[in-house]
Amino acid sequence: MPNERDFIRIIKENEGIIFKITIVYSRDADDQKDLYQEIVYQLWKSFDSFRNESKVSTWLYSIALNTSIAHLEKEKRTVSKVPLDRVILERMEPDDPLMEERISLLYAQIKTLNAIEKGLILLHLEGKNYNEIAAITGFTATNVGTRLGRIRQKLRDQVKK
Amino acid sequence: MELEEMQKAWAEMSAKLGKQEKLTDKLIMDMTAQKYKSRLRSLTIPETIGSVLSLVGSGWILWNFNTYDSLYLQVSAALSAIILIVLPALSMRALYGMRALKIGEDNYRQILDGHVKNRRRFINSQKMGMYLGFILLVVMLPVTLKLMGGKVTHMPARTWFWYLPTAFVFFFLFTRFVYRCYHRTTVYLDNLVKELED
Repeated sequence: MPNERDFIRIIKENEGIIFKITIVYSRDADDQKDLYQEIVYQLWKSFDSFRNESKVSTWLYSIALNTSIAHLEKEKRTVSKVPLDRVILERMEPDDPLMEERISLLYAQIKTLNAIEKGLILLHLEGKNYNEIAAITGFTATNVGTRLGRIRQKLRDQVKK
Repeated sequence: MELEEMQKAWAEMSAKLGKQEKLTDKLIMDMTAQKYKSRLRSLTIPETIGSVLSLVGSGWILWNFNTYDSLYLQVSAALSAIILIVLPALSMRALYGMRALKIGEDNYRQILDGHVKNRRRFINSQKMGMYLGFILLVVMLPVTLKLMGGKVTHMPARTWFWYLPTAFVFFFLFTRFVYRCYHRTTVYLDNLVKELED
């Protein structure tokens, strides 16, 4: 049985990361709640196997991103029965309209990328270096660099349009 | 927005999110428990009902096999029974494949690769199901009429006269609709494969 107290602590410390990942990979608020819950569930399921084998962040990003891809396969969404409105909807309450606008634009741009690029850009924006991204995604560090270069160019082209 | 601007906006958002604590202990554990329950519930209820009905139908056709008094009816009955077994098997195979992603063991690249294979398998199963469904539409009619008490040695021409064109029109429209639905997914999958191979 996984240690509940440790698990809760890790989830609380990283709730913002899970939230950011769910925005990138979901279609609407209901979908986001479902994905959020699915990620927490998958983290709980794999919590035992993770301990002492890798860094918390590597494990967490890895499970969260993998779950997000698997979530794309679900045709029917189940509406979350756990009240997550506070967690999802209230989290980005607007206090600075300018910042809100920039963040909306940021997410809109990320959502134009394909599934591979989404994962890479997300980890890059989270401040992970090429080696860390490579460890999480399974691409080589050199390949990560090449791909990020292409994403950068793609974003530039989008700005020009 | 260029990458540098995105990084800045992302950092601002992360700083804002970092200050918030929305989750409670209870909420976290409720999420794991609720998801576990709904996963068990949603395992295969619609698929299981569909499969059971198909198998019952297949069993009914085979059970009455000695009542089919012509080769035409026997072939139709055999084809119907086979399709009614193959259809749920296809659907279950596609669903099983979709559940087989090893989220806790594989890396992102492997999961993406599995995702592409799953989607392709799913689309192929749907297409195959569609073709088999059409064949079933044709071969099932004489068998059903016979089992409902009719005397069928061969189907009357006037029945085929309205039944077949209607079935063809329905099938044509349905196929066009399905192909349109899958076209975007297929293009998306092809691009993803190209990217993964890069």
